[in-house]
Amino acid sequence: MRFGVVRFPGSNCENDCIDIITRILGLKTVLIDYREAAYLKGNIDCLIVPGGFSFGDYLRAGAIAKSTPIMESIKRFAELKGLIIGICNGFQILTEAGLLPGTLLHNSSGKFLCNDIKLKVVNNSTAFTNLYKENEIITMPIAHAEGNYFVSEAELLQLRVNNQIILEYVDDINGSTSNIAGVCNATKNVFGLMPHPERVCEEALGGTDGLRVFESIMERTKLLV
Amino acid sequence: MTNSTLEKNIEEILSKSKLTLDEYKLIKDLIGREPNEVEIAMFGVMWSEHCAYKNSKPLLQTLPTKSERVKVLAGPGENAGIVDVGDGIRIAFKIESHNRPTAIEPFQGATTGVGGILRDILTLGAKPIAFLNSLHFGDLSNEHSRYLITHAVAGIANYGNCTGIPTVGGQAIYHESYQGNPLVNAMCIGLLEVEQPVTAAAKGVGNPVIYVGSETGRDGLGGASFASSGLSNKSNKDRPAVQIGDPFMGKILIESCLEAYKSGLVIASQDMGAAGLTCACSEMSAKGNVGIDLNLDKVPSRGELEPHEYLLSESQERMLFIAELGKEDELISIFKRWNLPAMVVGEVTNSELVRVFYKNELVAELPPKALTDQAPIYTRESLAPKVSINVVSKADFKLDKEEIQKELLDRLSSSDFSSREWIYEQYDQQVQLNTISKPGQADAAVLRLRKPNGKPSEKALAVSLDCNPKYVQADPYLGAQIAMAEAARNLSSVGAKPLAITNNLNFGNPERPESFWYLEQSVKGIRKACEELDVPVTGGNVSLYNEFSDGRHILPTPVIGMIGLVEDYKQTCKIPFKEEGNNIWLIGDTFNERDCPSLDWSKEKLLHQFLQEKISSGEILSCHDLSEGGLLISLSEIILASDFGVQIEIEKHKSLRLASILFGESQSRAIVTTKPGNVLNAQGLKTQKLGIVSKKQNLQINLKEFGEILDLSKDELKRANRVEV
Repeated sequence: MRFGVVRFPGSNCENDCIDIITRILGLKTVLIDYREAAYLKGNIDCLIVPGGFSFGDYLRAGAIAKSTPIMESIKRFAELKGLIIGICNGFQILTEAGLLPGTLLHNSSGKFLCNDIKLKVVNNSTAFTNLYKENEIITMPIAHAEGNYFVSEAELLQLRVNNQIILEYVDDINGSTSNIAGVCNATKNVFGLMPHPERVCEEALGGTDGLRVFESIMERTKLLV
Repeated sequence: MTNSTLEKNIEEILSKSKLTLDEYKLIKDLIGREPNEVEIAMFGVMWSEHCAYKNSKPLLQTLPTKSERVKVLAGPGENAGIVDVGDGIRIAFKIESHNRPTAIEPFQGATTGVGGILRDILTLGAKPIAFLNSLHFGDLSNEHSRYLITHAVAGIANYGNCTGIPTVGGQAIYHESYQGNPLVNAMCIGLLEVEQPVTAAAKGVGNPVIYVGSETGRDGLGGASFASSGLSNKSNKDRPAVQIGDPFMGKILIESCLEAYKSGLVIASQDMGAAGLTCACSEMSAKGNVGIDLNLDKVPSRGELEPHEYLLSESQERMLFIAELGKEDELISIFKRWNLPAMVVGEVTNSELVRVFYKNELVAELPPKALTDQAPIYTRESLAPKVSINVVSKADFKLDKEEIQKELLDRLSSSDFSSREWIYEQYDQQVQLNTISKPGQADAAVLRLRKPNGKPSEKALAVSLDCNPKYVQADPYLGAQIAMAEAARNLSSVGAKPLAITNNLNFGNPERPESFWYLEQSVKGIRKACEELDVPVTGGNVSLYNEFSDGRHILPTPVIGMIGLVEDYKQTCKIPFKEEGNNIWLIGDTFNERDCPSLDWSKEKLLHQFLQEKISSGEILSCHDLSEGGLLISLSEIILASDFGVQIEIEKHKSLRLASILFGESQSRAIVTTKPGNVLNAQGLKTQKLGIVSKKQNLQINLKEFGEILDLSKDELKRANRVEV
């Protein structure tokens, strides 16, 4: 299988994702420039929109990235049921683009926060979490200023009914509605999360709880083939 | 302006450029004529302490810059030091202050401090992989100090986080002497991505000079001279001397410059930091023994600027490149792909002059070496203070459990020992996937080192930033040695061998003999420690005149940034206890100390060697050195970082004060743990088994022949230690 990793100016986790996928998982990746509108044809199984500060997060995190040429391709890719995972800034971009429900507001503390936090895997039947146990508590780092996930009461109900809530913070760390840390779209092929799974894929760097996100994707892709 | 009117106003003009009348006379001698006003302004910034080290050079030249053990590829005088550690891994590193801008505008001051040191590393062809910073501010209880530090921390976070470079360590010291005169010393570490370090020396007559990056504006005008003078209640009017940072532009600059360096199209490069275009042009031509013709009309600007504004602006995110004639378009196209402004603004000449043109007129024509190498050097008068400053302080404690517990909790909540987590949790500490030890987890930051192909090597880099200014105040010669010893001890506590240092010397007015004495004694102390540890100095920064017009001045603060090497990144060590039942050992001897503790280098080095050996062999499972706050503070810090507690028993030696045992700051000590059966015996060092790691998360201490003197839970320690800012 092959991962595609999108790079916007100001992305800064694209190389980390590529490093984990190639070095730890031994898979192929292709780096895709935000100006390449017609790239996403066929040969990519999963697209990663990585973390960072796309366009400096000026205006609002993800607000400029959503209007770049690549976004039309990403939307088409999503419509064709391609798997997409948005991490941190990638999550912000996917909500801005309307591919995921909700909005990411400033942390309730008003500050950037980098910490290891505990998460609960709420839905373990998705393409991104099928190797975790249901309600498993895992540890991943966060590093964001705008991770306060907001949805209305009605939307929250909708998310619950459709099992779209994938990850929850065990404690309230940034003010998110219902402690939501990661959600997917209604068709469950687009996933966004604020924590960084790619940062916990090696014991030497403090843990391996993030590795199964990528392995779950491999597992699902294998089944599809 | 005609020369006669210039003569009349000369004092005013010189004072604007912060030059003396004697320096003006020297300029006239050097160039053989009267300088015009633009030229005086250029000398003003280039002859500032910040650029020319005119008060500190004779002292700095006494520091060792080489060692048999270490392969130094670049040392003082280059943009940063570079050390080769094998496997193709070359580490560039340097520290720089941004004190004065932070005092006036803390967010931008600190943010551009980080951006500035980043470009010093980048311009060598190195990819920045980590930041650390040493912060010295007034006490948090003071509202203005709190404003300054919270905004400075946000500024540091802003630049590091956005550029995708982790901030992995540092120190924060609160003391009233820094109130209104804070220190921000930012250190950057990078890995060379090209065969040879990119040179700053311009070469090849006719080759184009290419300007890359942000437009030039009026921000940061004369920042270098501003940074080299004292503060007063009028300093706020110097706000235009503060630069404005754009970390997004900084990030694009990193990516595009590294691509440019790897393309082989760059002959020379220099970032535009202090003294902007003036410094970049004069240093590049001076180092290459050539001249540069610079056409200001081609320099992109925000609004219409005067020549001196172009030349003195310290607008951020700008670089100067020399390309081969005919290949400039190829180089420029790399930057264009990143949507970065890039254009030819001049050419290399054989004149050995920097000539500046503005609206087709020659507005400045100076020999570059006069600017870069011929500033006057002042040997300042040094005078030791008359009163004895290193004394035994404070009365001893009563042997009473309640009182000892209260004392510990008070100290844990004091500004000296309260948690710094509120600072480092605002920094991205892990991006780039190299961070093995994050802030608070170990005595030094530990980073896995990647080879030039991007694959991890076995090796890891350890880094520590240290200075205890209270020791330096009490005894600068000894205090500076202790800063070095502690940095090396911190590296040893993660199993690393020291490689080299960069230093940031923050002192008061060198024209005041008592103040200069502190600088002189501190440098002597650093030299002594460099010889003891066999580590070279590869560069650094000097920040003088850290004082107010009313005579208030900062504590003398020589900050040491030391890097060291761990041979196998899997064999390093952290602070937290590993397992219940493990043995806890105290290595090293405790004495009754004065304000600045004593230091026995032979013991200190034995400790380093012992820790390095036993950590790499895997016998030592956790390690935390004893430094500020002594035994009880170190044990509390370990418990706060662990999921375990301790049960220990200590002895009271007759000659030792209780305060010395519990909180004394004797050097050359560490607390380590081993497997239960493992007996440690550090040769030449006192080795005491203190007790065992307990499941119960308490700090519990018995005093032999007395009974329990302390029993506090982790939660109680945490509550005392926590800070909400």
